[in-house]
Amino acid sequence: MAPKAAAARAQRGSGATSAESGRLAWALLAGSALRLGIFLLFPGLVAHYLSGRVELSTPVTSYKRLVEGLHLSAHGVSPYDGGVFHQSPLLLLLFQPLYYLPDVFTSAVYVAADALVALTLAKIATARKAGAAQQPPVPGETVFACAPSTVAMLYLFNPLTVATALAKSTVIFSHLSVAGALYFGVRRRVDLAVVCAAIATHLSLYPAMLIAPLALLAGGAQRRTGAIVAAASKFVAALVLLHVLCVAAYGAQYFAATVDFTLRVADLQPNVGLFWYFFIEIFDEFRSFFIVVFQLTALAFAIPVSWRFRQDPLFAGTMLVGVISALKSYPAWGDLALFLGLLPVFEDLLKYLQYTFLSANLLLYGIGLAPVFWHLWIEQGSGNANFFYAATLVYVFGQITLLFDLGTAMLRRDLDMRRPEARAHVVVQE
Amino acid sequence: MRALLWIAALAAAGGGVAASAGSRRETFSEDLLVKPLPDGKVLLHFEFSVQRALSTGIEGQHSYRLFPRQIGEIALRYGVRELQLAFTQGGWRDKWGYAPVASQGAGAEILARIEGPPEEAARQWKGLANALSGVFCASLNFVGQENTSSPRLTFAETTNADSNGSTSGSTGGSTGSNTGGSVLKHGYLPRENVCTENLTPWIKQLPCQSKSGIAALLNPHRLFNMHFHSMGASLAAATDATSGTPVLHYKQHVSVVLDPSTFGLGSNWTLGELMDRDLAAACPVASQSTVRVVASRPDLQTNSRPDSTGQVAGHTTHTFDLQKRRLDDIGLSFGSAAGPPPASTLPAISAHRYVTGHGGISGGIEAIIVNRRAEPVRIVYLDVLPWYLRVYSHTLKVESTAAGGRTAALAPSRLLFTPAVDRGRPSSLEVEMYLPPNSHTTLRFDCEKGFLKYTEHPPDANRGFNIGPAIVSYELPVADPAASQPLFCAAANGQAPGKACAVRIYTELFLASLPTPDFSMPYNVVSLTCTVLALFFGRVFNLLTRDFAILKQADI
Repeated sequence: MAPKAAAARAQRGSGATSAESGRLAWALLAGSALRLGIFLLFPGLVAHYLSGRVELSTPVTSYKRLVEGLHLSAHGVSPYDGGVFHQSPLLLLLFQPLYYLPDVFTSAVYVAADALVALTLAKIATARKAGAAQQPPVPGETVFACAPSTVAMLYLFNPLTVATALAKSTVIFSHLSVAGALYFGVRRRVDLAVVCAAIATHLSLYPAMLIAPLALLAGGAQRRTGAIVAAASKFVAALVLLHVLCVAAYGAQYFAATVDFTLRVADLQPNVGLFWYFFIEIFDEFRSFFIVVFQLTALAFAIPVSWRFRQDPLFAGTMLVGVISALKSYPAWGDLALFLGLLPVFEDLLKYLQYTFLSANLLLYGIGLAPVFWHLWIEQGSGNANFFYAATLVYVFGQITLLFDLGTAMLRRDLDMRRPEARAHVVVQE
Repeated sequence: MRALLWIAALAAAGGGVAASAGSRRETFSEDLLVKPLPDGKVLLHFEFSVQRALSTGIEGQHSYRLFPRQIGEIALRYGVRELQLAFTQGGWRDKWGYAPVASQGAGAEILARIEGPPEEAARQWKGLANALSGVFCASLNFVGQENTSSPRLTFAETTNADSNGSTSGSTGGSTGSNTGGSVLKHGYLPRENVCTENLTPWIKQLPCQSKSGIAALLNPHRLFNMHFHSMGASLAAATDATSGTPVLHYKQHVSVVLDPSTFGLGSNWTLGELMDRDLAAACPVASQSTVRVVASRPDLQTNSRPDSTGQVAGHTTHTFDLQKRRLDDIGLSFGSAAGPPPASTLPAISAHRYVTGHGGISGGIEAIIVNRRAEPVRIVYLDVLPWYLRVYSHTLKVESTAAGGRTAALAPSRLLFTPAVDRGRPSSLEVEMYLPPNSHTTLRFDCEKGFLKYTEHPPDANRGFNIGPAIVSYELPVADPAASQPLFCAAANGQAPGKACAVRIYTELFLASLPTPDFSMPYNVVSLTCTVLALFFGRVFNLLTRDFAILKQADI
């Protein structure tokens, strides 16, 4: 009798958790079903309309270019000896078997990858919730009303995420490794986190910045120098190993076509970032100077930002994801989707945000007008490049506003946590 | 030294010394072919060829008499084994039958086989293009890495055909055809305009220039008032037909299609009236000087009796020998109005190429190749596209519609694709396939337009970029000299009967209009983008350095 009662108690205790995991499963299933349904029911929409959108796929993430790379390597031509293919050899390896299978398998891989990202985000939220439960509660604050399943749902049903998956942009695989790195980092699984970060770096370069918050996570609350250095060196070792493997498989050419290409911004196809129009218009003498300036602006703040938010390295990682989304050389809407997907994890910051109306409007304006202006410029010829440029400028501005509103909110909440009396007083930045 | 003096003395003695040692080493012949076309226009094909025995001795290498010294020295300097150069304007129409020249694509085309390892050959090629640019007053110096290709199947018929062969089986690769220590290079300038400034240096290379012989007829005012104009030169190593010794063969040609009615001429005119120049006596140093009139229309009459009559390319041909007699002019008269062209004069294969798609960046290219023969024909389709048209080779599809109207996919027997490198090399697609008898074959693939830096656009950016033609090459079996065939095949057939003759067809050019930036924007873009970047920097700096503090009551 006794064991039965104990089991019943345990069931009651885990009742909330099992209902939550049921909701999570439903969210993942519904999200996958939505994507698969569109893939199967409207293949024309996907193939002709979405896959060519510059807002969704860039020269480094385009699925059409991936297929070209697969086609070339299947016929014995090095895919990196040309101006079309600029994606990581890891993607070639992943898609090589799928190349010979019907399309539905490829679609399934994308759907699964997106669902996995959502699942990882939900797990990050769970882990953070567990971590926050150990800290003393802040008076007057409802902690984590936003359930992990909601986090997954907000990511899965974000139109930007859906469109990115339907366009088969390979940025999804980079997102998966970024989310994986953050999750394993929060769970203190340093080796797995470092491997995920190395893969993400190999896929799209900029996630290399994430090693700073990951190393801090590895260091723990005491920030043990040994653990931090170990994590950083493991990351470098993983990168070198990946590089050596890729050189062995595809020759040193791959490096110039992927990493170097991303840094040099060699293809000036428009995207939603700052680089393309600037480097179309810049005078040739200053080109290399400004490339260094732009890339440094994007990359240099990894360590300072991580150190500033060292109390919560996961938040620092989220900030860096936002920086990548705003300032990488080939951004797409999918990058913003990951950043927005991470935001509900920090729902306690929501009430500290000061410019939500402004940043939401800027982002909506940028997202809404980009396709319209693109149509006017490219399809109809009645507008010109400045139209689309204006939309991307506003979009990036919106991201920057949101990003730093979030950072300020974190600092402000930190003060409230440390000194609860701050709530009753006027607080200024000094 | 003595040899040089001797040659100088010979040169001073003037032309007309047919028996001198110098002219024994070099022979010159000139020929004009007049062919009335079915639609009332007339084709004039001038051909001047000079042969020079190859010698290894120093005095032999540097003594030139009839052979143009500049060409000989350029060939020697840049290790050129073979060279074909053509400047073309206007399009050759299918209804005119086979083109008189191998190269008919509008613009300037240069094809050379250069000795040496690939890197060395690339350097020599650049030097060669620059040297020829000076010689012909053309923009050939714009032939660089980014518009040079090395096709492996298309020009296989050129002299090294036997050793080159189409045997290498691998797909793609970047080195191009490279056999026997020589590299084939092909450059194309679709935007090149041909004009008098190119003709003048070209005429200067002739031994008699335009003073005597049929070259006297070369009147620029008439040559450039035309429907089709092709001017060119080719250099090749060959074997002398009589002695069997190796010779260097330099051939210059001008082919024009003129409409006599443009010049107010009716159905009765003379060559002198057509060209507005007088036919002079044969060039004194020429070993052969002939005018041939092709009786392509049954109602054609010549005003004087021809010296001989034969068959060339399926037509009766009247030959007038300018060396045998002094001819003041040759008159042609036609009977009733010209009828429609008989079907047999249409070329066996014709090809056209179109741009498909709409909008600024995505699109495709579609080529239609018609086979009019009742048997399968092996063709090679070559399309060299600049890097800013990104070709997606996986989208290549070939379909063939047979005479019965049934459409089926056609599998190419060989596919060579070299992807483009941005600002490096063009993409080159070579498709070898067997066209079914009497069929229309469609070949299509996707391409995407790239975005250029604002300095890379031409001054009239919205006009677009001229894109060179696709080339379809095939071999025509010429067993029967009476069959309809290109003129150069008929000539080659005379030397080596029964051999297949390689024919090339050039499609139309097209204009690719690339999306343009706003050219007046550089300063605005620099300032606006940098503002956003500075905003980012300011915010992140603010975040990193400033902290929150509680404002003391006393401070308020």
